[in-house]
Amino acid sequence: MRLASRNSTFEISNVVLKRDKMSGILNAEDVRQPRTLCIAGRDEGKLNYKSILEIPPGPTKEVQFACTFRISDFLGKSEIVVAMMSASGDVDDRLITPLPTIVAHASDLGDLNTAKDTALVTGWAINGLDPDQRVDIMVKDRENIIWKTRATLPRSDLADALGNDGFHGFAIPCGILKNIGEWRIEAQGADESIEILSGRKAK
Amino acid sequence: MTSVCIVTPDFQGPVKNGGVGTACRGLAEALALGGLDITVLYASKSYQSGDREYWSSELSKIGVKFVELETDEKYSFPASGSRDPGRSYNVYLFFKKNHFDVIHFVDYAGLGYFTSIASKLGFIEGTKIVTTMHGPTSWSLTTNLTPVSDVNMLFRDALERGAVKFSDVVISPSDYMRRYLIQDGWSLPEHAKVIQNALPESNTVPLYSENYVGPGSDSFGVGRVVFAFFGRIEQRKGINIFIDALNMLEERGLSDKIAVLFVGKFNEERYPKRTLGLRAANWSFPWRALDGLDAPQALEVLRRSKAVACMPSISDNLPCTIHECLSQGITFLASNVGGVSELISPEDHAESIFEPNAMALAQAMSRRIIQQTAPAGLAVPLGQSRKMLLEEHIDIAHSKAIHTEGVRLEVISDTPRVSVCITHRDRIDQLQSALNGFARQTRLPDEVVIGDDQSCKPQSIEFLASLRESTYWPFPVRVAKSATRFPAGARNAAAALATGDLLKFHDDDNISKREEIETFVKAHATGHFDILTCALDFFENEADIAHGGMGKVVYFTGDVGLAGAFYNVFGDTNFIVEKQKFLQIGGFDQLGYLYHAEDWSFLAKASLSGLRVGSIPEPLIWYRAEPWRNLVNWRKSDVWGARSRVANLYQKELPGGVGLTLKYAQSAWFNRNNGKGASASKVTKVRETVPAAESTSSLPAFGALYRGGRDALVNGRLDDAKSLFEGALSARSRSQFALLGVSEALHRQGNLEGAIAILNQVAPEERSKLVKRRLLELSSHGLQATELVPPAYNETDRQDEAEASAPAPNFGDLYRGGLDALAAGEFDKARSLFEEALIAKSTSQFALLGLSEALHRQGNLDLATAILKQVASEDMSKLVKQRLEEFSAHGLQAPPRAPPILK
Repeated sequence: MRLASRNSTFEISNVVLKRDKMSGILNAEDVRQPRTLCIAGRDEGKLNYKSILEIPPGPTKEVQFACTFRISDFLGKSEIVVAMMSASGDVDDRLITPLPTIVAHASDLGDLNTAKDTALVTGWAINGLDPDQRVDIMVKDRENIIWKTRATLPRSDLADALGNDGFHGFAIPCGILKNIGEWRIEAQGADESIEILSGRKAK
Repeated sequence: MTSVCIVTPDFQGPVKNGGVGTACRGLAEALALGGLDITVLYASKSYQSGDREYWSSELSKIGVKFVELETDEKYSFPASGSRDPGRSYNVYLFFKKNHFDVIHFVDYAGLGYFTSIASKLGFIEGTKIVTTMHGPTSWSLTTNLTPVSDVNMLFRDALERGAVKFSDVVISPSDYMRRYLIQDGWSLPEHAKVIQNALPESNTVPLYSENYVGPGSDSFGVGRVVFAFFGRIEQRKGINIFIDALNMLEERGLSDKIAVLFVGKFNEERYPKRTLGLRAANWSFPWRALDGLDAPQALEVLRRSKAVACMPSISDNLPCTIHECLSQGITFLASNVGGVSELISPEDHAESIFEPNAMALAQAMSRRIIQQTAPAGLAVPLGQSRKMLLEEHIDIAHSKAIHTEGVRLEVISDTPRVSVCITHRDRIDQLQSALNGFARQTRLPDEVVIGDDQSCKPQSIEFLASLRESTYWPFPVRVAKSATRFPAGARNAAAALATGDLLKFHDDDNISKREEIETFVKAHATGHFDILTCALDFFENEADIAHGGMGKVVYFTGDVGLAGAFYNVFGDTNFIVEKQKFLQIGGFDQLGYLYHAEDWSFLAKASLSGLRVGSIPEPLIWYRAEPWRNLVNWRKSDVWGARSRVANLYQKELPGGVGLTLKYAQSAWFNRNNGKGASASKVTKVRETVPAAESTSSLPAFGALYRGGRDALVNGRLDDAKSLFEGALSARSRSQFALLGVSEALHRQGNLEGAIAILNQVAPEERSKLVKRRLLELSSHGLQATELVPPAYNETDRQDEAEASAPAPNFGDLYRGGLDALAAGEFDKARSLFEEALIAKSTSQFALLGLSEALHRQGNLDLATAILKQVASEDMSKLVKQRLEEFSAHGLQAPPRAPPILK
């Protein structure tokens, strides 16, 4: 991916976009004016850019960058915009990357073997394009669906962050996972499926 | 211009939505538009939107004055944790100062209780009282399947019934509610009418322009039939019926035809969001829950999404939600309960009303999926309800047929003779003060009979003998000697000798206010009550009276049914009663060994015997209340003796196991885990990573919770303060700082009993100095105790708390410290140390002697004597007796005498 700027050229490579994180490597050639690498969710309105990386003037350099999104950066937006911005706020060039429709997150289990059967893996999953259409949550072994629910539990943190009703949570008892050799938790909706968490039974 | 004041804790504007608030706003607008002078007395401190100033200004634009009810901390109620009597009493205080032609109460929480009674007894003149029955507590508890978890609910029910009984006019918005009240045994006034609520203008017409952007302005549910649950999310409003019906539609394969909205307030206690989330897990149709909308917003959502509003209540009165849908042409489905059918034009009943079950609703919804129908019509046009309410208020204000004060029912005599019965034993000074009080009356008693409880001091005997022949007093004074040494016996003896039609009981340590007898007689002459008690104005010594008292008045409700088995809310022995009725029920019980709760048990007995016990909301006497009494008098602190004695009376009267169940309820209520609710709840630890800025899952540490509690306390957010300190306790259960915080929050909320109980949870030997001192302050000064802010704390100060929470010095150390301070002439310090020694060991007569000596040396003979007299004579040590004799013989000239050295 290449971003052109006045008198400079920037190249972004190795971009990885997964769940709420984006990372990559930026190559900047002969930067004469300070620049900022920014991102924004794309929708109908004005883009609200978020700074990722300040790039001071200087010769050619290679920098690793990473950023984390907030949930609200995804919702209602189908694309993400990566841009190079000057000190005066002008956008020199921008790059558009599609976002996943289903966004999801789950608790990190830690040591499943020591977890009680009644302990819960909790998380949330949202259909970013249509939050009113609740997302299916599935526990699978290699091939089969072992357990299925829908992300409809209330989460006040999501309600606060998203400004909607916040009914996007789910909870899976650890006991379900313990007896499965290789398991994964997937969120599915709108013909799209993403893996949220996976693991295998300890020997 | 006719003036009307509407009293309500719920008003559309400050409160976003709710049936009572909507109806009150509609009423205010209708009357103001009709040219009446309208004031709204807002009996709440809660504002979901704006604040007092904002609404004051905003409502003045439509001709409505907005006043927030103020709370006067001077007045307190025996059941200090019960909020409703206090609110109702403060409403009465407002109307003592502000006159209106008509006062219009909502039924909720018995806001009109004291005002209605005061009006009937002649304390508020020229005012008519109206109450509207939106849905009393007993009705909503029953229909909502809600447990009665607080004794305040019993008071609330009794206050609501009392307020209705003593109103001049009752308006029911539906004939259904009028019939319900009659079936449920409510005493309704002669003038009981059915008039439907008026709706606020903003609820009858779309408020928003076509450019509206907000909830409902997007394309939710396009291409589907939108069904919207419209109302509070709770069982009574039919949330489970609605969800069951949705599940049936899903099972019938109709999920791709529908979209669903939940438009209403969530109430976590009655129907947790989590329950809705769990029940929604099978739905494949799009749905959305819209919480926190005000009424116009909610209606806008329904209009814009072209929703079929669903109101499947299992019981209701006259729901505003249906009224609003009808007025705005929103199609709906409503269950056929309460007064619902009274709202809807009869020809539309078939399409709009269904029986309150899920199958019937699912069928009605299925029909709507196939075919939409036109909006239903109103049974009573909007303008007609407004007109009827306006005319009714004008009629009430001017009608001579209605009420009012001083209505005489059945009275024993136009000029009853009043005998004052004073109980007395060996307190000549106080008896003289009491007699002086009666000599100054605006209406003199016809005689005073002193019930002598076996006075034994020679000077007492001599004084009583002199009274028999005295012509000094402006009334005859007679003395009835009790056969037993027992106050109840003395009272009965005085009553037996009295010749009056009315008996006014009095204790010799209290002093009458000038209008006491006149007020009692006039109030009794209205014929509403057989027995009348009154509020009490506290004083410690005569100097307080000159300064207007101690700033504490305790008021009572009079008879409140079974709630009277929990607290003495009837009044004290200072009451007036017809002699004949007093004798009919056997007078005071003379057990001969239990001294306490004579007032409570007599008044409860009277109530159980069918006598009508009321309480005048005005303080007619000065009530002597030295703060140390409850500390040193075991009889006063034997609360379970008192409670059990009263509960036994109820048990005897109530059939089957009901009496025993009531005793259990009494016991469960007082033994409940005061202030430990939140700390006892389990916190499920969730190891989840949500984006850092939005994470709420981590549990704050003790320090953060404690500091939050202090902050909330300082800013007057008492519920928050209590929760935060409880949270701190769950993080560190032994923290006496946090306990002090919970206690202080309870104290400031008026829950003295809870505030003391929480500190008493610390074992006496582990109590820190701070905790001990606070217990002393709370026990001595009750709700008047100075406000305390628990010590500041930060993580590096843990040592401070450890030190501050370390057990306080034991009795011996405190006592010896007191002796040292006495010897050094540091009398304030000596008093403080001896007081703390008394906290550590309340029965110590040595410590009492020390406290008395410090007071004596400070020149306070009265207090020094009184402290020692609190010890019952049969328990009195030789030293105490000897010291009392010295005080009696030599007064302040008595030789200084330090109490014994403790080994």
